[in-house]
Amino acid sequence: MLAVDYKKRVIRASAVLFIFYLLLLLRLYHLQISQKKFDPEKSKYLFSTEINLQRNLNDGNVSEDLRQVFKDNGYLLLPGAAVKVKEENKKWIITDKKNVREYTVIKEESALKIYEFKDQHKKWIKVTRPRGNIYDRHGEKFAVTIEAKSLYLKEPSKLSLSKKYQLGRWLSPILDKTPAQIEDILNKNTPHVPLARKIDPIKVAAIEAEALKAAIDKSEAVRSEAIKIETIKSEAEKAEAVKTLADKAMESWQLYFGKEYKRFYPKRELASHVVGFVDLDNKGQEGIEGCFDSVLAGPCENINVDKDGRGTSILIDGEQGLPPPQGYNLVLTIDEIIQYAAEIDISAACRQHEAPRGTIIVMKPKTGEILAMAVYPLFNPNSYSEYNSQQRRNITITDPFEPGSTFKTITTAAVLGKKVVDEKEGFYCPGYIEIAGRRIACHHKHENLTFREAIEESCNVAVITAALRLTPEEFYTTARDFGFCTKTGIQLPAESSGRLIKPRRWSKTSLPTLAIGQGMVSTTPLQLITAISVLANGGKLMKPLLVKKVIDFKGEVVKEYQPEVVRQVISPSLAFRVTDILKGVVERGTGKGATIEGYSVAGKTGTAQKVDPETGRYSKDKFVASFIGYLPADDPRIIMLVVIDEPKGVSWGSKVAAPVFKRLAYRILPHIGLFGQQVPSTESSSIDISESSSIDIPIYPRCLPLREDGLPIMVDLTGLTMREVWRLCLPYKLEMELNGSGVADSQLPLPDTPLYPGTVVRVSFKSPLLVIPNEGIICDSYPIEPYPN
Amino acid sequence: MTYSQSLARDNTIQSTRLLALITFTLVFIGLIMIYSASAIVAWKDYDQLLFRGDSSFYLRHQFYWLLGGIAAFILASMVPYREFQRWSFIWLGIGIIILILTKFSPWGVEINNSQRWLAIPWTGFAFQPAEMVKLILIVFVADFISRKQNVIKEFKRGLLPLLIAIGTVMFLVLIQPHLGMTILLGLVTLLLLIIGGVRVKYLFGFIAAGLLIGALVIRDYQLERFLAVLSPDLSRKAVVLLYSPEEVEEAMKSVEKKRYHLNQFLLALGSGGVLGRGPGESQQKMFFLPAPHTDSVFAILGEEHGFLGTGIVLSLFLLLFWTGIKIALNSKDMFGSLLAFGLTALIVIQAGINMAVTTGSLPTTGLPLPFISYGGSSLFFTLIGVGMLLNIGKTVDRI
Repeated sequence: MLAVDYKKRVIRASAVLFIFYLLLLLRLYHLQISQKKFDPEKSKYLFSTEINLQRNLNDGNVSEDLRQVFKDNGYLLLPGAAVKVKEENKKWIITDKKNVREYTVIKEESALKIYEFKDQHKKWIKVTRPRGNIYDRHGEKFAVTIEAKSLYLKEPSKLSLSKKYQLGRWLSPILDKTPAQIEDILNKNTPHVPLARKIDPIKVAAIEAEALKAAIDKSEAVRSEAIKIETIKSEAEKAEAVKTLADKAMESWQLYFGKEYKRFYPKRELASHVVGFVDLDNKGQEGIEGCFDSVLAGPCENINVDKDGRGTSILIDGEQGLPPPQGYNLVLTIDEIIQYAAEIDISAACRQHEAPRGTIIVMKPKTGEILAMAVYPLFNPNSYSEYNSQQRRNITITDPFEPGSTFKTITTAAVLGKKVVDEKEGFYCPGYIEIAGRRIACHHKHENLTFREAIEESCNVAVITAALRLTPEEFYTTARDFGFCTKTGIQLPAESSGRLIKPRRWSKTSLPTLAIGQGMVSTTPLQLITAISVLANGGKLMKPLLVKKVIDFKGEVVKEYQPEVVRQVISPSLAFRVTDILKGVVERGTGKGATIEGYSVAGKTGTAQKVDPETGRYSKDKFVASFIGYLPADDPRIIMLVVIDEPKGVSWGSKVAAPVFKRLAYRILPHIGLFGQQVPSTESSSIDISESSSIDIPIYPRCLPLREDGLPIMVDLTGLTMREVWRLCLPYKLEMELNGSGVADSQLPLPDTPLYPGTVVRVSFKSPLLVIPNEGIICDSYPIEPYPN
Repeated sequence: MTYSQSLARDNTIQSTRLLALITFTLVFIGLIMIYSASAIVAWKDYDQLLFRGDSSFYLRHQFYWLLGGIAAFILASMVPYREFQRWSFIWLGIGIIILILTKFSPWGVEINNSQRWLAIPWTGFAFQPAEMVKLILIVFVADFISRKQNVIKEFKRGLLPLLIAIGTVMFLVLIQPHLGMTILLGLVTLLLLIIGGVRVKYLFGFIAAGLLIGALVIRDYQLERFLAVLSPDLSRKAVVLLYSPEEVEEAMKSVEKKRYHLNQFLLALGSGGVLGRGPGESQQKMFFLPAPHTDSVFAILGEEHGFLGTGIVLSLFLLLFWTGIKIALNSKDMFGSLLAFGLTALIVIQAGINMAVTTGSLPTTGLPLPFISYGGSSLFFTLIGVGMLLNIGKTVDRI
């Protein structure tokens, strides 16, 4: 009886539990099969709209109407949002990568319902990619991206006090920080703390070694590991074991290295004002880097990746459809060799004349392509923080100056164009001219001279007399047409528009002073060269061009910039007449210092007085010496402007700037293929290479020195890369035999041997480990590759 | 021996074999699930200089406990179960002392604000005494009821000693704190008392007293776990009722946080569907679920193997229940019956609570899924329990 009783109760209790289990099974069935409650595609209902808006969705397009509906409901759908058809005519997914949102559109009950598509296992990340390279017109690399390591500390709050102390002690000398600074960093309460960014490789090795040393001192286990490693015979295995142990040591200190990209300028100072530089976060700051920042960084792309519950993204190689591996590359119109020559020459001239600033621009007048833009003083963008902003600014576009006599070319074009003067008309120069009680002096008393001679001799009196026959409006309009007081639109940031005061604010003396390029006008060097290119280009004003094209990482052209005519300023015949006068300037007049044998050169000197900022009057001893010229005058291939600011001693443009023009022309003419037609006579072609090589610019030679008879002379090629050797010898019609890879090791013929056309040059190369001071180790920094153009 | 008796004997022997088979099938499934669920945690979190990144860390440790557990299981199945009856009082004393040591001695180990582990001095080895005490308590209650059948209906001589023993153990477990285990002990002993013939009106008092004590010692986070299971509206009303006005927002926030974890369970089960994502393919184990290899292992099972996997595991527990009840019913003495029922109920109720928590039907308790969740002492003592059950089943024919 008793037994039956309790067994009955066992059965009853069991029945209760059994029912509980059945309910559980039902619940599981409900959760796993009948109901799909947590569908990320329908994570949140947003709004519904009319059914007919679905029509473009099947083709993968968002119609304007639908976009408007989204906008009306407060959800901005950017153009470029992609549509994925999940089920034809039923379900679509719209992905807006820029806004990092996804929507599900579902046809339900004769309406389109829009849901937010949000999967907690996914997250949007912004892809950081290496910045694109900057090349010159021949594919020389001006700016590249290399990998650099940054040191981080993981979860400093988890470090024990004694560990913190030890860490500070061994880390501070390597990172050049005081223990107190390190301690501040260690006391931060964030998961990842950067200790030092973009460290050079030698320091990386030092940090690893110190971490291991400190770990051995501290931990018995690591010490016994280290002793074990000592017994390993094979060198390779030993190195491997040491590496593994060092990694573990780093981990025990909660330190790790993160990979970052670092901008590197292999040519250092070369074209640095044009190229600009980037800050620590690889954001372009000045020059091309600043202006084309977004292009170089590449299209900003967000991608949707898996993540774990802590928010860490889970990237599996090759599965996520990563965008292109780097940003777009830029090809500049700059020619490295011309740029280098220009930088040598402007530096030499500025040092010779103790000038604080100077600039040379070389341009192709017919297309507006800038071949060189040299600015003195130079700076090295790899260590941009060591220079002040004065040294870093590209004065060719930022600093307007009063052009002085070079502006007389514009005056000439104006008076000849308005037919108020004829070249042969006679003028009398008493050495000064008085206007409204103010006396404007000439250099000396020219007495009787024609208008042509007046320009040749840069006579102020005759030019002013002629210009006074113009109305202010006429003169002003002509100057405006030449592009003064208007930004040239070059692809560089922070361009200044210069100044040209409007006629209604002119006084009586305004027009005369404008005629000689003072007072009413100031111009950037780039504006000046662009304006005078009009004369070299049959009267057409070109937009200066600095970036030739944008190419992707495969070398395919993404965008090409074509030469652009701004306007026809004067007639071709008038341009020819002015050119003819300017030819005379170089042949007979003030520009004699710029004559080049075998070519006719058109040019104009300029010696502008500067306004003393203290007194507000024209200074007696501060001048801007300049020379602008183009050649060959009848079919101009290049135009060059030399501006030297505040030369000491002699300050005439004819004495200071014209010789620079001449020397540079001799350097670069073989390179642009002009001396192939007319061999210059022996006298004038000897260029003093010793002078330029004495300048301490740490760049290797870019062109071979010429012997007195015009033959190039071999130089020591050791240490140059194959590309550089090839570029160096290219213009001289030599046979090249290049063997091996890496940097030049031995050569034939030996240095100082004259090279006749067709001479065989044999150079052998060997693999280098190129150590660049302050930059670390870069293996074979200039690989041979096809030119991008 | 009558025909029916021999039938019962054969049945019981079959039952013991089936029991062992079910047990080790569950253990095997457990090993697979522990590796799948813990690999990522072990690889990412286990932080020691020379062992870092060891993804099989938890699997190996579970395996060591399993080896010990199998030995203990064999031993327990060979010791005649009536031997336990003889020492039940002493065992209870030892259990209570160990529980006191766990809470109040320096050998108690505190993890996540709960002091549930006891380190055995000089061995570097720790276990959860509550897992052991739960067996002891079942043995004690079964023994007491079966011996005092004549006075069991009386309060003073029958029920009171039992209530004191049970209450002491439950109290010591509750203050660890281990609310889940306390509730489990309460439920199982309650069932045993009912089966043993205690007057139901006394038991209402027992329940009421338990609830009262529970309400007094319940901590905020435990209360919030209860509230998180309710619907958002209802939980808000409850929070307004239970908390002072300035605490309401704070409490709502932490209730939402608890609900987030519940939702992660449901998301895991729901995304598993019928057949699951496939072995090892769980996304939720990537730190979306709390304690993936212990409390959440059933959710990961549901995500990776779908309703098929959860259904099979649930059925196995149901089958284990069936065989356990059969052993209880076929046992010739009351002690054997009560002990068999108690041991079976212990496993089955614990499993049921864990699965109910995972399906969002009960508040989070922190009870592992027997045989499957990671946890050495749980596996070890559960295997001993099954061993004892087996012994009861084997003993049927010797009577």
